Amino acid sequence: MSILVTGATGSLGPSAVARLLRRDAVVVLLRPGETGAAARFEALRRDVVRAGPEAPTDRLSFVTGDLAAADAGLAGDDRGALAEGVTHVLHLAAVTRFTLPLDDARAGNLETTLGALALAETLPRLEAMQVASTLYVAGTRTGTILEDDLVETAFVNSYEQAKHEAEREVRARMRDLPLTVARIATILGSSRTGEVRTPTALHQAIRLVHQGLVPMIPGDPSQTVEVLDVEHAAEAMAALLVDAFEPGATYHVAAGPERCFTLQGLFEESLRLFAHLDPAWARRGIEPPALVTPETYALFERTVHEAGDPAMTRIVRGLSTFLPQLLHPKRFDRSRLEAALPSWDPPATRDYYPLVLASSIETDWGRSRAEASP
Amino acid sequence: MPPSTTSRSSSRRAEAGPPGRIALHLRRSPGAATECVRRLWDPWLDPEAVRVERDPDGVPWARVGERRLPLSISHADGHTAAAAHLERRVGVDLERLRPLPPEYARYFLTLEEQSAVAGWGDPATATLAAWTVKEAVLKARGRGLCDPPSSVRIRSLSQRGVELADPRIAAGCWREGDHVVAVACDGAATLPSVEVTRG
Amino acid sequence: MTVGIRALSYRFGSRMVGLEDLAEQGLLGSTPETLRGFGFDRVHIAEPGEDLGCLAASDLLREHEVDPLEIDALIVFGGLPPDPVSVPEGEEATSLFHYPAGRLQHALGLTRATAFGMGQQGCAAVLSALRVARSLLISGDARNVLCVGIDIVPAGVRREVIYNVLSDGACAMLVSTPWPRLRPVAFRQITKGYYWDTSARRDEIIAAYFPTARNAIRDVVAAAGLTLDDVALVVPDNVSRRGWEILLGLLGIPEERAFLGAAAVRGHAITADLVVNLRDAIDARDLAPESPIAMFTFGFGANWGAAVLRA
Repeated sequence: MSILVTGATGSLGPSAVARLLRRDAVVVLLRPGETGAAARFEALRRDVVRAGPEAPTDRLSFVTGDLAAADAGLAGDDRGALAEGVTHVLHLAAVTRFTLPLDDARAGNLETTLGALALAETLPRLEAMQVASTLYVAGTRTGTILEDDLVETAFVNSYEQAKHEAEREVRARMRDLPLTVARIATILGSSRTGEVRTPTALHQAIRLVHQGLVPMIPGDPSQTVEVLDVEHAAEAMAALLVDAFEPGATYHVAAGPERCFTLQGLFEESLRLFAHLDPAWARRGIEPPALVTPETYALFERTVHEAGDPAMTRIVRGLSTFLPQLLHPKRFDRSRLEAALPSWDPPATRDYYPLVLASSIETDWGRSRAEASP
Repeated sequence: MPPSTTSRSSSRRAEAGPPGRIALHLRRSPGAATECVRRLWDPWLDPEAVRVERDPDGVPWARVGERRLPLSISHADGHTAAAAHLERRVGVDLERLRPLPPEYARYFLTLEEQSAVAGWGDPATATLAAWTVKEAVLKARGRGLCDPPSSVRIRSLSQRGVELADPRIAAGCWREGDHVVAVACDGAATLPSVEVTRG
Repeated sequence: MTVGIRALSYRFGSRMVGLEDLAEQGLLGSTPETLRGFGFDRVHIAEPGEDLGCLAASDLLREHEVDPLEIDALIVFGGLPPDPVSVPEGEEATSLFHYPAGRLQHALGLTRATAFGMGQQGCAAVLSALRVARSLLISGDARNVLCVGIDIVPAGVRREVIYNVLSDGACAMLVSTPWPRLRPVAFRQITKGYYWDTSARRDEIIAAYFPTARNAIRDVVAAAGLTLDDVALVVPDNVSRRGWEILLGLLGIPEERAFLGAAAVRGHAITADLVVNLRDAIDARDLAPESPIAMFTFGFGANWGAAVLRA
């Protein structure tokens, strides 16, 4: 048995690979990139060790390929080896930027998923395949979102839409292939080290708040900000793929409202921690952003655009790709996840958020990521 | 045409008005104040002899030798209006004709005034016309814009005439091409005749 | 002991200039259309030698029949720093010690008044002057304090500052005891010196303005024992009308309860705005005695100042 992982170099990849290695051999599909696949593999190996020091990396290997290419860009030998050995596939490959034009978002998310499905068809020993998705395929829907829901809706950004379209393709193939979908909450960071491997739009917003550059945010102060630590996201995915696979299922891999901050709570705690971590920052007297109605925020946005102020325009434009999601509060039902993984118990955001903020500030929000000692 | 006006081609006096007339000169180049003074004192007066000064209060005055005359001057996008009366203080305001956002009405017009200015006939510019009247009146009082706009109360406003709550001051307002002009005269129950000249 | 504002007056520069003319002279950064959209239309510019502060104060003393000898203290404030003074090389530096407060005290005949200046708070100096005046009166050190604000932009300096267009203006405010009307009952000033370098912190100031303004107004209303719904009238400064629309949205106060619109005809006269708008609002609106009036202004430095008066 071996497990094929795509997108292993992404935000979830090293943690997921580390946990899968505990279960079986893992082969990762790597694009050559600028440095070549071998160099990327070595960097990945180091990341896997950092994410899971006990992971047996001697059974980690790679093949060079590209899901956007015909036959996944695989060499003949590699294709044969995968067909012979792969029993499980974890498809993580994605492009998570919110600002892409829709065509580019589709290329990075829909087309790659189609490529992964096509590759899966060439694996005669395939027993289970899990496709990573996002909670926000729910787009602008509000209220309770069930795990089985995949409803036509509008979207806040191209990433949400491309992921929704990818899920539709996956769902259409569930008759032919052993497929599941795992919709992952926003990854806040490592609950062990605080490291943020790939800053998200949420991290950018918090960074801007740290810099005192966000005057207001639209939203209900009491709405939940659904985030998850990377370790538990990875563990859930590994378990759902290998230990508790149920073909045709879709899961909301989320911590749940009881473990997460409200919008107001997130900013209050952020500022409290900023002040605690850096007394010099505290002296600036930066206020948390005001939480406002959509009408007031729309007026503010319009004013910024009319004024043409370069800095504020840049800030507002950057926030505009995800802030509108705050205007569509949702609760993600996790009944199937809880039934499949009854002992899965992610930490409350409050418990590891200090680590995340400390790491973010120390690395200048990811700009100068220091090599942590294993 | 302004109410009770005279023009260069015809002369028509207001009935029962105070003696004298208001000279109002409009032009797009410098010299409106000088021309206004010449109309009142002496059309043969050498323009170079007229000096326009401002007193410590900021009120403009024309001086010719030892003689002084209070003026009122208003500028709007390159145009100037100057007005004067030999015996009374006058005020003039000139504005480019344009609609003002409706919320400005709430700032300087009472609810009653917002109804009263409907007689202007053009809702889009009625607020502007009312503002022009108030400015002219404040200038005629010698105070300029250092009194609240609400201290001037308009009872009615049309292109035929303006009625103010204060009986001691009279005003008129009319369209002048792409502009609106208002003239006010202190110490008068009705507006003296206004001789309008254009340069 | 009741302390109240007994009289208000103001003066503007005698020359009115529209936005298009300012743009032609290179005195704006934004287009006239943008600034008009934000609620501006014209400004008042002082002619050389116009002594607006003295005029405003004289008007007040004359119109309210106040004997100059009644004034115990004169506070002269402004948002702009005093005119720079240069001393010829080698000469005694006495010209460095020419103060507007002393000159005004003499010009107005306030021979019993101690005179001093207040500044370094931008537009917020007006509320600090009112607060200090009130303190002097409550302490028994004075019965009548005359506060005079003066701001005249140096010739040739751009008239637009962060989307606000500046007028030259002056105001005078007589605070007295006993006086039952326009009683200041609460003050809240938030100073954040981090923003002292206005040029370097410009973007951060823009971001900090709204949430801090909201907090200052909420705090002062609470300090007065009131809720925002109790406020009968909000008297704003004349920064952009658009800015006030947003701030009122943050506070949940309907625009009808704010005295908006003055910026279009007055421009932003820096420290005089609140006195101008307070006087005009009292004249225009039918406020019942004791109605709560909330005032707010922001000043570079940076200072967010708010006060509640009882009409």
